[in-house]
Amino acid sequence: MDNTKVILGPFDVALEEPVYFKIEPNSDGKTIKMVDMINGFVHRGIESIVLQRNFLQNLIITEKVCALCSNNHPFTYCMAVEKIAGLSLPERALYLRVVADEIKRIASHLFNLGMLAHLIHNKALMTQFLEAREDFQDLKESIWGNRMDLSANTIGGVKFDLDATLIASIQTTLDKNKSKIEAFIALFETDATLITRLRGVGVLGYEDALRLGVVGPVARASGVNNDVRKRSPYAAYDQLSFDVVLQQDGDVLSRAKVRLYEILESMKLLHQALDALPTGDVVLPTRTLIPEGEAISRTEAPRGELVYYLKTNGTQKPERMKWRVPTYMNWEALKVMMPNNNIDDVALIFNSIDPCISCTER
Amino acid sequence: MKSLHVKLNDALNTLKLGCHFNAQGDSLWCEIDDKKLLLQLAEILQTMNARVCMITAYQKDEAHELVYHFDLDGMMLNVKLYITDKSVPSITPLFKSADWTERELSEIYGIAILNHPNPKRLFLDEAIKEAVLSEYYSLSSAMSGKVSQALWSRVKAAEGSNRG
Repeated sequence: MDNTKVILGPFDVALEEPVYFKIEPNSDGKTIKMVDMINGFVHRGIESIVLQRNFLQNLIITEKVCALCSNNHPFTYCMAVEKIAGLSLPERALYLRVVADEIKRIASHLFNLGMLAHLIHNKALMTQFLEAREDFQDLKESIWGNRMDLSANTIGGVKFDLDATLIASIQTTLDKNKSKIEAFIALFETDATLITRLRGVGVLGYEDALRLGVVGPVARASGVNNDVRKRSPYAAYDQLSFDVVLQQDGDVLSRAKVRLYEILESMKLLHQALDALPTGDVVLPTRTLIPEGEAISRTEAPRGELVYYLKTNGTQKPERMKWRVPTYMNWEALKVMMPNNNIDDVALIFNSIDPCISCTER
Repeated sequence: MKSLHVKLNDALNTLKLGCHFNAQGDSLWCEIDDKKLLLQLAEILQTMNARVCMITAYQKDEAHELVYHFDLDGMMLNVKLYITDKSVPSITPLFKSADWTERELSEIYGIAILNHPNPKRLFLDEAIKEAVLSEYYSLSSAMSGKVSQALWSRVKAAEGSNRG
């Protein structure tokens, strides 16, 4: 097996996004000795494009950076603009931002779990995950008119409002799916076949997770609490109660369980936010010119911490805008997770960091 | 926030580093123009178990400014470094979390990262010269996945040279 390299990619490793794995196998020819990645297939230079657009146009550009975290990009970007302009938002807008974000999080986690089921060839389970997700897709469509890009945020508030019918439809969807999620959790906690297949695969220990600075469910599955919603609360999260889900094993199974339990926490958050939804405006009534300044903001996207830095110079276009997406921090962790696992499991481990490549490369 | 702010500035005073953090909004900011000081600050933050969230670079007149964004216990610390010679010491030996973001600013702004353990390109093809942000490139030539006549002629040329 000397000098054999296994090449995976650049297309269709786990998802329809391009990354190129160069795998050096151990002498048995079946397990991984070392892995290297080549990225950059979907680098679009968006950080340069945003400098040529004004602050409102950039709402649309940031929403297009990623599909699954599409709500968090304009959300975090708005937070940075609002900090520079010194805007304080209506309470109702802060709660509605939480509602949009948590619905997106549930749908995103269910999609990732569906892909996991697909990669272990459990098509029945995959169907169940995607069916549950479909309810949330429908919900998004009925509230925002779109299944992926919600266009929920704007500078100074949100672009949508919820009436009694929509609130009831969210509550119905949550109630209908809660027992399904609990059944999935029971499956992942007790089903011997599933556990044998996923336990001990792609392990990232606590120390490595700290050292690499990984974020989101990947960090929390290794026992590291980086949840921005708790550590550095924004919007209405400091007024709502929820638990950060932590697991200790750091394997594919733990990451799946973190996502499953987090869906329940998101449901809890949604119920609270809807019950306590303040009355009033959903957006500030006047538009503001954005003064010179700089700000940094961050939110907890479904994949983890999303950071935006914005520098303005008094014109209505950014002077510099930079963001770092959650997956960006989790790539290097693959080099720790993959060695000594089966080559067959590359896609499974890769999927477990919930990769977003169009996000990472921008 | 206040206690961390005070604790941090006390530590900097004790070590006589000649810089301090100011609170601005919900995060702390510090401006420096000495690269040695950056490494000293990084070492202190590393012992406090901070992590690197991101590094922003931008052109300022003829020089560059780099903003290092650290997370310390949920607080964002921003260290702004002013550089004039397009080179900066790497903090990746101290913070593995800085690896990618240093390589990215290096290829986009042509800033040399000294002492980086893995200094290869991150996203951009080797054929593209550094400091890409100051020039116009068509999308298909900027991405590694170029699917064009240019790629095809490179494949054919390589084929020719392999066959000698």
